[in-house]
Amino acid sequence: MTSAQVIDRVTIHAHSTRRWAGAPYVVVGLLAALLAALAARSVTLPINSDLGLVQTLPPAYWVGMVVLNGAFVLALGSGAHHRTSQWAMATLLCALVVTMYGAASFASSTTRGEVAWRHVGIAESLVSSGQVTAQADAYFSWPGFFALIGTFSRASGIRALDLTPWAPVLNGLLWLAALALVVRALTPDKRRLWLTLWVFCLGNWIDQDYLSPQAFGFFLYLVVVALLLTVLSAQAGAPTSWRPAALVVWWRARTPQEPDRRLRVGVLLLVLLLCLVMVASHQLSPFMLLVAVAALVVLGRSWAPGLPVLLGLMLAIWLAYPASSYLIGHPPLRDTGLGAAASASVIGRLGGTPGHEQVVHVRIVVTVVIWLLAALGARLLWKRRSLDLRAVALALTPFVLFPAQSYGGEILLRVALFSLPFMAYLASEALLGSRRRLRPVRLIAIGVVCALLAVGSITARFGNARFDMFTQSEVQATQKLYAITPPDAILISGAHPTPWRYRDYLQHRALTVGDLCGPRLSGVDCSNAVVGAARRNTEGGLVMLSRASKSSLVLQGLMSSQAFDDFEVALARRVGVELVYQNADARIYRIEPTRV
Amino acid sequence: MYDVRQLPADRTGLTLLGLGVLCPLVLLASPPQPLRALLAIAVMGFLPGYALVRLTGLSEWFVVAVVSVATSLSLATAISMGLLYAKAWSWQLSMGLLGVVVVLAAAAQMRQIARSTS
Repeated sequence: MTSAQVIDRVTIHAHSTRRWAGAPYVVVGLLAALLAALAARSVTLPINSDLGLVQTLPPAYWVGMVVLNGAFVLALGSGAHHRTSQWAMATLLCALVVTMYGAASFASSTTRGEVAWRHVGIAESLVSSGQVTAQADAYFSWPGFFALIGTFSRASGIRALDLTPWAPVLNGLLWLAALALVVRALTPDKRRLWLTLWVFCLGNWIDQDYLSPQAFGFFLYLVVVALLLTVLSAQAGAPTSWRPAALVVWWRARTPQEPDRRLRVGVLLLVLLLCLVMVASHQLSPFMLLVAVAALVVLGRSWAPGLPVLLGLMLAIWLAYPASSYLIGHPPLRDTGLGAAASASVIGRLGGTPGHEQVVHVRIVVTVVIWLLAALGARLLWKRRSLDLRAVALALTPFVLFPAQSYGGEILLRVALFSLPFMAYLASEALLGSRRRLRPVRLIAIGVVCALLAVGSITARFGNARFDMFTQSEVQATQKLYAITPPDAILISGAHPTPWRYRDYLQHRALTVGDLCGPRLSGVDCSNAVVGAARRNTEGGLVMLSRASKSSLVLQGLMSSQAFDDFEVALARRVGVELVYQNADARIYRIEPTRV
Repeated sequence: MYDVRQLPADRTGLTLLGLGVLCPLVLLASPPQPLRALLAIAVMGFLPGYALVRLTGLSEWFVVAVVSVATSLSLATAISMGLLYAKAWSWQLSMGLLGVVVVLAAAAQMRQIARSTS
């Protein structure tokens, strides 16, 4: 055997050893994930805690989560993140997504959250009617995602409702794949790559990954940003001065990162397709992309300087034509201003029972901890003169939209989501530090931070489980509601958290007791408002009062338990109101229309 | 990094061409599950995007995979939505059009290769 052959054999052996370097951590991580999943399956509905799922999950779930985080941190410290052992890190990450995002799905196969049920109904009504009824509501002015789901459901033979329970896991994996492309464009360091993905996963309590246009839009956003940071990226030095003439010289001196023009043009065309679909699928995501792309152009780091203009044009055309019927009744700049956004996004959510307030506080703490870690990471990178301004810009640009629209009180959630990938990237720097080798103390610190974030994130994500995880009885009651309702009858639920509107979306007007009565009306006055709304409709209406809808009103401080009970007693006593169905968790009342 | 350009280009093109014709056709016959679901995932979630991404010249497998999924889903969205606005929607037509995209993109790529080798 020659010396070259010996070296080859040794190299091959070293590579194969490294390939399996992460195996012990994967085995431990997978066993921990299995333990957590089995523990989550033992949860029984309904959830009766104001803290949500967190108080119902058995200790074994938390042991599994802590061990899984420990296995990841040890793998990170052992060098298992090295290229040849990336499968190990990827497996651990997938295990985290499944056990964290899928915790509620292990507990119950029923779709969680009313909005997911509603999205199924919209997709179904689109493909059933075979056309876009733009006047129906906002969803029909941005029908892209619903057209996709409706078509997939019909082509695959899978009911859209059956796609929903595991949609958070699937979306989580898609987001992480796209985010991996983004992070690889920012750093060649594999440790930072995996820790960023892990921190993103832990920080994402925002719960927007259900079957929704925003989840789809966020995936496309990440892919577009990844392409802008790689193939469509430009290299630019620092401007010599801030005078306009010097800036023009600096701007012209930019060079494309990708030398192949054909590749750049091809990728730009793909990006335009993705932008177009985002514009047609979701109201907010393309605006988030617009500010991100504009920031990259201003920094001189984009080789597609015309993209913000094209994207702006697409948005303007979409708002002027397909979405015009919605915008006529809903001017986009109605709820503007920092005060309005802060009031709707933060102050308005700080109410309800003590347990619910604790959950809201945990949400704020998890978000602020990641933002603080990101600020620390940015400072460390700045001191080392290796801060990539693109990451900072992409982390901060979503905040530009905060005062622009309250977005139904959700703007801060969306800002937090769109900044999270880059906040997680900067936070990973603070956690890893500058040393090549991770000391045991630092590893322990990373492990503790990750485990605490996991507990906080699960608390925050599933904090509404008392009213967004539906029981079989509630689902059966809704099925009965649709079975007995006359065509065109008005449907009234206690509150939005109801497993309804998954069918006959356009046939029935849907209202809620919460919306009709608000927090101030007494039981009798509330019953007057509800009965009046139903009687004015020519086909009358059906009122469904469920455990989940009552819980949501009480938990969020929108109605007291006593007021809700008083309302139901007053409703049941009204002439022309009849109890037509009841089970353990729901009652349905029929309200006859006024006969002229 | 594994480079998708290492795949025998003409063979991949031919395979894509075949899949672009076969998958929608088999779907139209409503095969049993899970074949039907897998075919729908392939036609709506990967094949058209992969065929287009190959045309651009992107090469690294992970980039190709993620961008292919995003492009396929976007194409499926654009086609389904376009048909709905045109009041001509049917899932069969949507699948057929996606198949046409695969075939055209694969044929264009094969033509590109033939030109560069001649």
